[in-house]
Amino acid sequence: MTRWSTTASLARGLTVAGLGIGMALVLGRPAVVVLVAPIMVMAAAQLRAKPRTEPHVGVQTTYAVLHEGQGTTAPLRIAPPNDVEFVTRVCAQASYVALRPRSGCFGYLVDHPAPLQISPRRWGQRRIGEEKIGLFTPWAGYRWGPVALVGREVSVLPTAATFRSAAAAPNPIGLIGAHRSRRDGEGTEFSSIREFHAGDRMRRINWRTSLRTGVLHVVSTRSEEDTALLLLVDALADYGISGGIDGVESSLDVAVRAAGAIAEQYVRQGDRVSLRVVSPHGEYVGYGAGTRHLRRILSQLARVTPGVPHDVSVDQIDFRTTAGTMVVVLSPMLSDGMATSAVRLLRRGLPVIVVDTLPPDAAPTVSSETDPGIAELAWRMRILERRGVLAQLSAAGCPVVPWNGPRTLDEVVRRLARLAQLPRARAR
Amino acid sequence: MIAGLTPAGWVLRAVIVLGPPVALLAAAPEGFVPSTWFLLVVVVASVAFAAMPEQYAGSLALLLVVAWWAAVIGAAMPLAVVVAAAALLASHVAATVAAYGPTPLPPERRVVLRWGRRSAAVWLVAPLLWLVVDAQRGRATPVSYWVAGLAVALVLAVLVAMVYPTRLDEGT
Repeated sequence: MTRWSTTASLARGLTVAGLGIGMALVLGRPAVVVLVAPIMVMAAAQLRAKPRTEPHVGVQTTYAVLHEGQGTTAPLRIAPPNDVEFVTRVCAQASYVALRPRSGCFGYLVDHPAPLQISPRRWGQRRIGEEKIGLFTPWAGYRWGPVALVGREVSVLPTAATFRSAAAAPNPIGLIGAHRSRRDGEGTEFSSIREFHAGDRMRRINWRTSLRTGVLHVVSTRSEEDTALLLLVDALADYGISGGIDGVESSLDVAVRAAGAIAEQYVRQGDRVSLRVVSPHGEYVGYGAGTRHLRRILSQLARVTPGVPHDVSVDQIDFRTTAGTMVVVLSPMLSDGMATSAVRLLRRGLPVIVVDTLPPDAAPTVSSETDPGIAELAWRMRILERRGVLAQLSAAGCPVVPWNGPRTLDEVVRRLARLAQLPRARAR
Repeated sequence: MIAGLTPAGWVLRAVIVLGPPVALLAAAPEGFVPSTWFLLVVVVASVAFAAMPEQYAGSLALLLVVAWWAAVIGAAMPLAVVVAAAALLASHVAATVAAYGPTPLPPERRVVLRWGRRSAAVWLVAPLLWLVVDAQRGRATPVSYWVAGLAVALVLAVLVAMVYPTRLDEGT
């Protein structure tokens, strides 16, 4: 079935020209012929450009995965373009997707195509490329469409932050890596000068000390190992308003972007990183390293939707941690369950850091039926309770830091590493 | 209907609105003045035309002007008819460009230039016809002269459509 139809312009031209000529004929009015002659010629030109083929259109976005803030183009392919002179594109406005032109509505001559530029402004799953297409023949006598095109789902990953941490992990227990271990081994970091044991390498002998003491001494170094990092993202609720990558951040924005940045930072160091999201879908990525693993983590972060898990209570979730794992909890700490989980992990002897993701000006979304005064009071009480929880966590040995970019963890991790190096006294 | 109009879109709408009244008033210097109420009707129809350029109803404004010229000017052939033809054509073309898309669609520069060239070329028919008729002025012109000439023009218009059949037509 053809989708070409005559335009109002052609119908108007034929009507005005036809009736004008008719009146001139009947009444004998030469002036009317002159009056409508240009319109009649234009109508003839429109008829002359009658389409002969049925076009097929398709939009192809360049990338299926994007980072927030990145852009892509969505060129329109028309085959065959012979009968087409002008293209009209009207794109659907999706949340957190910026379009250029901003209105999403533009047209161009088919021999001078203009690309549609799309840039997702927030992480998540975004549908882009939903639009309506209209094609016009030369002289705009016939129109094809408008035809609705279904867009495609694009994964928008949280923004990437290229940064290399200088802080060593507190308890690296692995095979090989960049963190200074508490154990002596093959590394570059100086540990001590001790007496020679069988198996020590000859090049490690410290001749100055050996000559002074008369006994062979060697320089021992600390081994360098990787660490395991568990990122625990609290997606029980999203507090605050998200303005996209250029605007204000909600609590979930902070958590997801921080998790992405920390994961990238540690994966690039060669550490094993795991992700656990406390949300209805419970997104989980096991321990792993490498670029592909990082991509998996970022993809899971892009799928996060806020809500309470249906099948399990928050404080009963098994976070699958092993000895020596460093845990980073990214949470606004407005849920008792998350605080309980952090303390549970802390009591297992794991270094736990809480990154506070609550924006300073965050406020809950209040339904119209709720008295705003009461909602305000309840929120203030909740914030007071939260302050108490954060203080208790700090007192229990769990540092709480607000997110201030990728270097946020550096100082805290360095402090934890120093603490881990100190000798421990155990009560028997 | 006008929400989200771009500045260029406003210019197009202005041309659509002004075209029919200008075509109506073009003959005023030569003594053909329309009545105020009729002018008002044409202005209202033109505003409606500008608000809905993609609708067929826009033809009313143009038809009112053509009918007025047929009824009032009589057998005269004032030079103003060339101006009126330009005004009507401008309104018609502006509506065609405006109907390329929804209201927020800004007319592209290349499209406007192309339509400007086309309009100028098409409009040339009016002064040429006027010159032909003016050359015949003073001679006795039988009514059959006009009937035959215009009938030929109509047949030609129909033939243009017949000469260019499409595969789509064959299928339907």
